[in-house]
Amino acid sequence: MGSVTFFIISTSGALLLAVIVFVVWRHCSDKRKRQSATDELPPNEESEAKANPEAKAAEEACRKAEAQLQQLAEERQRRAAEEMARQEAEVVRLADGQRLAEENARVEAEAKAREDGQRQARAEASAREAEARRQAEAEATARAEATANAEAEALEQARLKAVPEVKRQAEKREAEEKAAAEAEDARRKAEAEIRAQAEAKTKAEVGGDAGRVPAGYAFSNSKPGKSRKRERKKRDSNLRERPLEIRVTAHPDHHGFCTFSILAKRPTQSPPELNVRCGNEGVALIEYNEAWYEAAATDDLMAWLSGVVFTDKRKGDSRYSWQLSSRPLHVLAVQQGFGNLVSTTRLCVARKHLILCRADFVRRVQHVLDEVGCHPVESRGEDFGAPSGWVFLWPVVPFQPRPPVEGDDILNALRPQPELDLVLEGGIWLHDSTWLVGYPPRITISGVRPVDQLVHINGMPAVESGNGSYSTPGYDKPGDYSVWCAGKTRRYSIAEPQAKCDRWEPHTYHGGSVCGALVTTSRDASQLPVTVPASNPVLIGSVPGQVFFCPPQVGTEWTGFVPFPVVWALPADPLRCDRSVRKVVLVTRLTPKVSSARVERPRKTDSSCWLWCKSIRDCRRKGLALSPRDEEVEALWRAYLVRAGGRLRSWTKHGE
Amino acid sequence: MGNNEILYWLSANRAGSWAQFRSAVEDLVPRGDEAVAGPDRPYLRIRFNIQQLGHVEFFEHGCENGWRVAPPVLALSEQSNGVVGILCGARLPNLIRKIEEVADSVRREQHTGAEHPDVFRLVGDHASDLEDVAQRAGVLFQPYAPLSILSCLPRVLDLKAWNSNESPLPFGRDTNITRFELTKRSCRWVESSVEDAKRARDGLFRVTRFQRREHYLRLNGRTFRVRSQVGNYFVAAVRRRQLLRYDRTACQLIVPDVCRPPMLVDRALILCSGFLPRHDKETSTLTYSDIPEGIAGKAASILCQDRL
Repeated sequence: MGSVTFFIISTSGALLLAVIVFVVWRHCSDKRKRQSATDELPPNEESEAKANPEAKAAEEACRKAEAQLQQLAEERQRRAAEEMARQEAEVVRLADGQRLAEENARVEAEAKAREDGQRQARAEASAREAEARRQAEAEATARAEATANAEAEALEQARLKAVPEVKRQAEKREAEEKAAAEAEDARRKAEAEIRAQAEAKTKAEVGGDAGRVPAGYAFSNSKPGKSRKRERKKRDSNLRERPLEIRVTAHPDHHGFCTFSILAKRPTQSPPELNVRCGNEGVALIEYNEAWYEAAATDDLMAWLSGVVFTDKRKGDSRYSWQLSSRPLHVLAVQQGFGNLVSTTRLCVARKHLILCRADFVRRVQHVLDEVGCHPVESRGEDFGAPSGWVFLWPVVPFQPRPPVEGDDILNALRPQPELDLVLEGGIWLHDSTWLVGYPPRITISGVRPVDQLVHINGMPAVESGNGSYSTPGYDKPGDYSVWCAGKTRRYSIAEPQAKCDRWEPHTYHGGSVCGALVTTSRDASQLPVTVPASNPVLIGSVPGQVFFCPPQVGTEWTGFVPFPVVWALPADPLRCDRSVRKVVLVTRLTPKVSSARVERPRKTDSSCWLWCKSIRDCRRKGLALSPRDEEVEALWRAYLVRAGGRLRSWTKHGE
Repeated sequence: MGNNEILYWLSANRAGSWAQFRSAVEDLVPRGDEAVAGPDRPYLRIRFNIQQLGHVEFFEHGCENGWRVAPPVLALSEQSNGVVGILCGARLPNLIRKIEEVADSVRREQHTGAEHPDVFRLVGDHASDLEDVAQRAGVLFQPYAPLSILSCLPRVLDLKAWNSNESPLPFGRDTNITRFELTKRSCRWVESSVEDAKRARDGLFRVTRFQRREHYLRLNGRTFRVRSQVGNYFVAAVRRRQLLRYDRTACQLIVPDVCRPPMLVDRALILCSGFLPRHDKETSTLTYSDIPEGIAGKAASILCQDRL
């Protein structure tokens, strides 16, 4: 728009300029004509022209106007030229900028291409190097294996030739270890003594309370370590970053049926129950023991066995995840701390396992089991508790180790390795490596034991029993033990705790507290239980005033504790009872106690002494029979009657 | 390994969590043993039996989150033909050996059961004989244990004395509710709902959440959280239903199996003989043996039963 306006203005200016130039040219040409006419005139006429001032003034004004017009035209031309120059400069500048940007882009693209090329070259170089290194390592490994095999063969031959020497060396090594342990103990003791002496010396030198070392303080030689809190935090954070473990557990019964479930690792200080997410479904994890959760029973087990991820539903930092990697088979075996069979890494020689595998995988599994010397085991499916699409084999006991096969990763778990390991299992395990006396661990060997290597328990050669366990005389007595075989060592302790427990009050009621079968009450321990007919609820003791009314109780008998020895059980209201049915029942043969002190008349008729006397007297007035009925009982009853009657008479007389 | 070993393990460790107990039972009880087969997990039944025999306390004051072993005690019970001492509480092999050494003046009996530790009974003529044995063996002595336990207990109608406090009914998605139905001929749990429980003016409701049972008693529109057995007998007492039956000739007390007496009453009845009640599946009853009539009457009075 601006350029159009500028074009119109410049065009109109140019036209105006042309008109002005034309007018000026006509005026000049007329002037020249007139000048030439004047020049041609005679001197009279020239003088006449000079003598005309008006014509001169007009000519002067015309000359000035011409000069102004010319100046104005020049000015306009100059402006137009400047404007054109400015536009051209702007165009040039824009063109330069675009060219510069294009140039920069081109340079960057060239640099990027050059960098990519370099990176690719580097990657290719590193790949070539890695390949070369791998080849070199493979060659080195092959050479090392060949060398090791050769050496092993040589060693084996040498070992077979020199069994006694090996034994002697083993004994020597054991003795050296023992000596080293003793030396270590001696060194610790010496250090402790030196430290104690130094402390004593320091105390003696310093003296007084000012420099006294606080009680319980111990000098430490160790460097300041990391904060435990920080370490724990770091450990927890690591735990959260990595998925926690999931294991499969199985509970087979005698009928061949087996129950399967899922165990998820339980983080420290986690709640006893946890809701987690598995895909879009919620799963409840319930406490199995201190270290494991058990997933609530579900139909999704068959899907979970092929691999599953649980994620914590909770919000915040303490969120966990659990993962069971995808696999077509699981190997389960008995492990310490679990009551049932639990997932393990691989088969072990001469141990009992359960294999849970996909139904389409069972042929390959059985083929490998044949290789490792297992007796044929029938696979069992859903009818025996296996999840849908899965079968299990139980019990699987391999007898031959087999080397792993390259590219057969998952089935290599079914090929036991020959490494020897000492296994402590069974017994009554208390904690750490401690077993209860009388119930020691069963010491067995996993893997292949060298023929010339014996199992030693505390240095004594152990004897193998028929079931594959090893023992020595007294290996199950209280104490600490060390089991050794072919360089492997396991330690265990046998403890003999006492069945002493403190009494506490788990159940407390108004009548006392109960702990097990032990009762704590405020009742006098000398109180004896009494059982009397429910129809005779008034209990009389040998001392006047010893009277007890039994609280109501269901049944024909009343049993309870009474605060005195009961002699007689009387009906509740003797004067209104049926004498053919109700009797005076003897409970204990005790003669009435005689008191030498003068007895004051009771002020109230419901006092215990008054009731004691009145109850006996009322039974006499009613004429109730005695039970049992014999002369001794009648004599005893008369003695009580005399005592009660005499007391009543004395009170009456005293009262009159 | 068996049930005795479970008690040894518990006695050696003295206290622990529920998870430890469960793990120990599964570890020590033979897998697949027909004796422990049943609808419930074996550790639940073994826990119950060990608790009723007075060996271990579970989830009570002093062991709120697990279990704790009671002190070893010789619990005395009077029988018609003498006195019987039952060995309760902590038990270890060395204690058994010690008792066998010193119990020369009394008769020793050892009874093996399916889902509980062996019952050790010492039978003598006088209580002093058993007291002497207990003293020499270094265990505590509890004379007249059944009556002593029953004498501490309040009647079931006294909810406050049974530590039953007013509590709102629970709710939630995973809540399963059943109602205790008590008729003249039967007593059973029937399906119900939270709405029914809230609407009901009276009744006993069992709420199951996360495999845990809680019992709530509705009484005049108010809700009390109670122990299951206390609730059962409370309802029976209010409706005057007779649940106990006593056989005087056989000295047996018979109760419906769904109405087992409260734990301490049950323990007192068991300590009369030392044997767990016999369960009759056909009649759905539990039979306690060697129960003197006075003890049966005392138990019936606590349970607010009108007659035997």
